[in-house]
Amino acid sequence: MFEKVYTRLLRLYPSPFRKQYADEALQLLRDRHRDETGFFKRARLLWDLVVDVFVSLPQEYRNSDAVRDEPTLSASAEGIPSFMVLEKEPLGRGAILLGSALSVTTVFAFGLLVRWSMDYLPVPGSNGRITPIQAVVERLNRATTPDAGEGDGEGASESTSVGASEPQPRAERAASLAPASSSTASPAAYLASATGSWRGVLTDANARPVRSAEIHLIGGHGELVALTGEDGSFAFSEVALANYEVAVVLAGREIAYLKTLPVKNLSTPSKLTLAPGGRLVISSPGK
Amino acid sequence: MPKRKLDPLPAAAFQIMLALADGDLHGYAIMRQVEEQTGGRLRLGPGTLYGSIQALLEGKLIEEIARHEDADGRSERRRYYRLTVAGRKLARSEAEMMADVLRVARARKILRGDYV
Repeated sequence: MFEKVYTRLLRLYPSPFRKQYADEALQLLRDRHRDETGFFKRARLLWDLVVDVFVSLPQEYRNSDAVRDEPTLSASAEGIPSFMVLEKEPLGRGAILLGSALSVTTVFAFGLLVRWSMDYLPVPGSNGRITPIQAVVERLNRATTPDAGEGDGEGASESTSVGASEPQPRAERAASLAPASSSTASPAAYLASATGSWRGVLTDANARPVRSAEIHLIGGHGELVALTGEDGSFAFSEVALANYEVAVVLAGREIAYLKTLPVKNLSTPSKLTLAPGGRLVISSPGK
Repeated sequence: MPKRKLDPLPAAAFQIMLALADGDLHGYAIMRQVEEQTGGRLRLGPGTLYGSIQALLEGKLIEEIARHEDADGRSERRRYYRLTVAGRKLARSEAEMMADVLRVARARKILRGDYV
């Protein structure tokens, strides 16, 4: 039994060591096994072998690496990153089979895990199992649903909601809720309905248009940038309906609009004013 | 090219050299001799034993000798190892260094008199 176990343990050692000393090591084990009888001595022998493997195995790999004569694969690859190969011998058929089986099992298990996690992620509002793509669309939809109550009670000339002058169309609201209640809705059609546009004019405190200023829309999905034209106008199209922070960068100086700005579809442009004191005031026409 | 490190000399390698000081031994006999000379404190496992032997062979501190004929004239299928002159010299200097340490420890009354 000892010999069988140790023969398998010996396979863990570097091949040069195995070739040179495997027979000797097994002979030593046989000698000890012959001389050391009784439960206590046999248990001690087993303990010695286990400790010996743990102590000597790393040492042997370190040493076999130190005395390697021929250049390693990574050294001969001329700058191309490659793995350091500890074993010099070509891989055996069993090792290749085992490696392949392990790889396939790992990929399969990972796939199952991803599928399981996507299937069972709680999606509030959904009344049944939906596909992963629909789950993502659902989450995007929830993230982009504007908060109607936000920004109320702010300054008279200032509106935090660009679309505050226009109530959200009933049809749009219905469209935004459709995927939650119906799993047959097309994701592409839904995504198209979840975008809007925002345009406006940037002026200074004296109502003169500011050109070549960068308007940044910073949201949870990233950052959009538009440049103002000669008349200070700018436009964003295909903007996901979400809450954004607005910043204006003029000659390297950033002026941020500190409140959150919900973007909705707008037919009339917003008015951005660089007020004295480095403030940015956003107002909607008619407000 | 980096070589196996024998500086400082590992305890297992030093004990193997001491075991071979009296004569040529094969692996199992070295293991038994080391166990005996350390009062059972050090039992070299096969991996440690042959790893150390390999390092000592590469350092030319021991050498492998032709198969040994035992008392019955029967050839044993074992490799025997012998301490080289360089190995003996290194073992002596290592022992002298330890003797110096021992002398200092005794002078500092860290060791009692029963240690030689």
